Amino acid sequence: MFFHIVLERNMQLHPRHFGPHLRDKLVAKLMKDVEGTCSGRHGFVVAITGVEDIGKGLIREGTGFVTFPVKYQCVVFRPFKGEILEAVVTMVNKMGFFAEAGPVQIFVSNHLIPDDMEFQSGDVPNYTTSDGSVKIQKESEVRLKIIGTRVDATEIACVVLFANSNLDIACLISPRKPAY
Amino acid sequence: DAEPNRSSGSRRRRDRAPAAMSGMEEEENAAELKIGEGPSLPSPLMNCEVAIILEHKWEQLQHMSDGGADQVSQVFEKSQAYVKRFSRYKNPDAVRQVRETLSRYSLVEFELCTLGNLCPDTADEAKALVPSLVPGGRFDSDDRVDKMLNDLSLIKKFE
Repeated sequence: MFFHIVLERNMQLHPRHFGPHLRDKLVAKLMKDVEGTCSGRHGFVVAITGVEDIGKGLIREGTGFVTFPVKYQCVVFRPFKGEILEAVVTMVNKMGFFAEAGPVQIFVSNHLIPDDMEFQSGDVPNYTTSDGSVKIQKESEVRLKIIGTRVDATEIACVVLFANSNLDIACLISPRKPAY
Repeated sequence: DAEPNRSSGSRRRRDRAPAAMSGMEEEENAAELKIGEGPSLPSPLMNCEVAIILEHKWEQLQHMSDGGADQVSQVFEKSQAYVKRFSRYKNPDAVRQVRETLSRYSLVEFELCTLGNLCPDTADEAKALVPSLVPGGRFDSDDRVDKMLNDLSLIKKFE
């Protein structure tokens, strides 16, 4: 799910940037440093939407760099245990399928795809139910329930349950980067 | 006696160290509504709201002279494509109305956003998608859930 959040960061600036455009340069550096990053705590920083406050700069002894505490607002994407979200299937093979939800990639292993769905190879590999009513292939939209996340410093791996069209939770699926 | 002191204090420290190194955090469970903590609480956003925010930001970047729009991160691009695809409501007024309407039903923000994102058709589907709706007595009967879903679908109809 996406969240709006206020974060703080200490930005260091070289004296050559001081001048009438100091604030602009700070904000530009902030965006360059932070947008697109992922932390375990907050998830992926999708976009900075505003700068709330820039504190007084502190000259660092010995270097001349100045540190500014910056408070900024941003949109983050952070999947949570228990959340049900929609994802797009990006690749299907006999091991399972990959799906993407925003910046997060999820792998659904074939061991955990419902038994009544079979892998079918060909030009458009897919998983299909025996009666042909449900088909999962590239570009299919699926609903997944996150049953656990494991976060480390830079990324989030999700453990998901695959929810079929009737929303019965079918099976447990291993994350893209299993670490258990 | 060379045995290290196994007081409960030192055991706690040992237990915590590996967890901190692997970055495991305390359980955050949407089903039970435990989300985030700390000085600044995150506010959940619906996909359709994020679509508007990112579109606005994209336009701002395009107006910048140094080709800012070319330098957006992959995270931004994927997120923008995702929210455009999975927004049930496109019109900004409708988006605002969705939040206003759902706010009348004593929902927690996370529940509100999940419902606004997934737009269940029936009370059963809503309760399966948002299990936290069930306990607590806010929705004593399916009628109340149905009314809420009906209000949502009316917004879609007149979007």
